Amino acid sequence: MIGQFLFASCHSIGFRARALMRNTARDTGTDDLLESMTVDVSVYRAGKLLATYPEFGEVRPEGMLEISAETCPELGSDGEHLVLAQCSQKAGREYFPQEHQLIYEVPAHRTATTLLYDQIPVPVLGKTPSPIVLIAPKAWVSSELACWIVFATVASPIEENGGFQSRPLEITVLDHQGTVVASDERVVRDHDVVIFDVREAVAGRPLSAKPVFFDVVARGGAGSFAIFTLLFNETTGACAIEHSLSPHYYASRLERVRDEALLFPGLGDVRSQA
Amino acid sequence: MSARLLRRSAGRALTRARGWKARHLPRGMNIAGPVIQLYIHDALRTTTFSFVNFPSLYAPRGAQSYRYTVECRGSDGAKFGRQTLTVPAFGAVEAEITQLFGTELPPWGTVHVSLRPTSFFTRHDQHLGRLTPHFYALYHEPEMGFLALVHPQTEAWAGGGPLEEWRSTLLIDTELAEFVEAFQINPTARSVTSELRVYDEDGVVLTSASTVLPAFGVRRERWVVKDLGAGRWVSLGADRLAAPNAKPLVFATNRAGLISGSHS
Repeated sequence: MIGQFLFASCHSIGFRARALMRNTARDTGTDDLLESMTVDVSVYRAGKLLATYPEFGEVRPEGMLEISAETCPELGSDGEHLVLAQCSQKAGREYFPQEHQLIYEVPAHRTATTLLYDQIPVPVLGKTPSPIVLIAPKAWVSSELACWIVFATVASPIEENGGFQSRPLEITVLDHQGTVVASDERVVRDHDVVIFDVREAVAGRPLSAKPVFFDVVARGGAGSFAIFTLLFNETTGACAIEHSLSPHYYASRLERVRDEALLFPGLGDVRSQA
Repeated sequence: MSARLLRRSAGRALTRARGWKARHLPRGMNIAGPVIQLYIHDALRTTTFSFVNFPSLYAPRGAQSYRYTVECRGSDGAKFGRQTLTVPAFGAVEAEITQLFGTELPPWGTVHVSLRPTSFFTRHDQHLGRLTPHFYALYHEPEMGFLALVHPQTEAWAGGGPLEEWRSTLLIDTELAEFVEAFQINPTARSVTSELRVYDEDGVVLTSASTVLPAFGVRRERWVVKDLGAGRWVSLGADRLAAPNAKPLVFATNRAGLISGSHS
């Protein structure tokens, strides 16, 4: 059985990432049926493979294996990094669910934030994944509060696209009334991290110490994505993180969603002016 | 007709009925929920919720406004208040808990969030199937000096039994935490006895506390990390959760008094 866990180092925005790879029984306290899990790790920067560790480590039942700059030195190097951890348990290529834990620390403040999220299936070779549809009504920014939407992505390399995914990522910031206040389009490499700075995107708006709320939506890409929102108070060093949930948590039928979602009035106007 | 054939026919009929329901029932009759989440409004922090009109974003051609109804219950499960918010097409509304229910509300409890279209009989976004309320909870110091962001996904649990013997995957770093707090909600209409436990890295129980969680109630437990005698990491578990997804929210206070938190 196999699954992959991907995350951004967030090194380029001042964080230190620590991933705790777990091997736990799902929703039960018994580990009688668990077997050891092996982890292979690859680290990418700007779409290029920096290092690969085919046998990074083994996680015993209820155990933990850390991926951080201490165990994987490339994560301490300059720039932003994508980490792809492939987890295997028993024989076979079918997917198995497993939660892992991410910790982002701010060394200067000795603060940290953490979250659990699931590994995802390994993409089928030659099959282009559906474009993502993201709704993130959880962006607060102020003169001291920063907010980033972090997209970590991997895609099967397609030669003719020169290392880029076949669809760009279209990111839009909406105010509480649903009015488009900012928009951006990012070309995405096959293995990369896109960090969208919400405060920078709305820089034309006056910001005070009182946080202003925005909804960030996105569509596109042609890979597997792990997406989360990161809030950071620059004065205290406090931070918060939460991952986004797939649309199927909120709407049971998605046949038309990936074609129609987020194509609402005003979006095209803003793009054409950009 | 054999029992097996009868079961198969009944299964097909049920599938057809569900498909018919998805295609023909008015939107107002095809929404799940309510979804339940913890709120906190104590001496240190408060809670802000963000409610989004996601059906209009998923189906912009049928865009309409939606209403979120927020019912507040105290830690004993008793109803405290109820408010309705209208969210315009493509919009989202943020609401701090005292804006909805005033400042005299219990220090913690739950919100029960329901979703309805402003036009009950509309079918404009019927192709989305069954909808579930979509909102986030931000627990924060009033000036956002510290903050914790959590996605709710626990529906009010009508059927099934509690989850026995749960262990969290989340590891809490004792080097960064002075205090650890857990808030455990009961999203069901029956009371449940639950023992919360703190485990060390080897799965040994360091401390535990058992209590009766009233229907739709909330409990809070707080531990001083140095008193646990733990190594680098601790984790939570329970002999019983009221429902499979009713995992506690965990908050850690660092030496500077900043509180972080997450689902467990």
